Amino acid sequence: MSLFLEPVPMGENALWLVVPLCAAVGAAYKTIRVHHLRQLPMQILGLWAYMLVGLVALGVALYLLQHYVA
Amino acid sequence: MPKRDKSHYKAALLAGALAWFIPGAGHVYLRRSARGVILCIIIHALFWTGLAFGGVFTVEPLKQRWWLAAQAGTGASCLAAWYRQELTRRSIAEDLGIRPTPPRGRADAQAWWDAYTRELAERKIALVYPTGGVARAYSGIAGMLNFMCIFDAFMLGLIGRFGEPPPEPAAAKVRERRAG
Repeated sequence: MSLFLEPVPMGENALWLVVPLCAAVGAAYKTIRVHHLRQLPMQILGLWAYMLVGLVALGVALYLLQHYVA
Repeated sequence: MPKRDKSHYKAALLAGALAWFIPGAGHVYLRRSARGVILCIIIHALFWTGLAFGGVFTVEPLKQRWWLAAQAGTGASCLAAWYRQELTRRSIAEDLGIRPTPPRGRADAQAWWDAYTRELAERKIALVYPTGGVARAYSGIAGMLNFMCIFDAFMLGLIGRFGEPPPEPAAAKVRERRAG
């Protein structure tokens, strides 16, 4: 069994893996922070969207900085 | 400073230890079972996804000590992965006829690393870009998230808060009773 022994080939474009990572971080954080579990799905969704939009904005800002200033 | 019940310290320590050993178990102990199960699934999924991406050397105590410190937050999972890594490294060293850990001298250590990494590449278990980064980020972030859960379980145990918080109207009544 090579799973957990040999690395899975991922290619060069591994950027999309940040999407489930953000979801997991948001879910773990909100699971301990939320007052009632009924609020959990919407809170996770909100934080996930917030993180992704923030990362995309940061990426665009750094791209523009590198492209026009540096 | 108000005195705390001694049993709360014990509960806090036990909750923290359980939360470290099995992510989510601290919350289950504090009668927050649903939260404990959710945390257990998320943290284990993140850690073992990282390990599947990176293979056995995702947990690497020789050259990736800071990542190992982060991964150590996942408790039993990290210990299992570390043990498997040790077995694999020892088996490779035995096949090559070298020591299981690099020797102390700089030149000897370099020769050890050269032979060892060549063998890892030949066996296709060496971590290369971007696999190494992704695998260690997933497993390391899982450990760091569990450190946050350990802290939460410890603090909840310390203040003696067992079970889910009461629904809003009941909580408001308790506040009113305390104020009045």
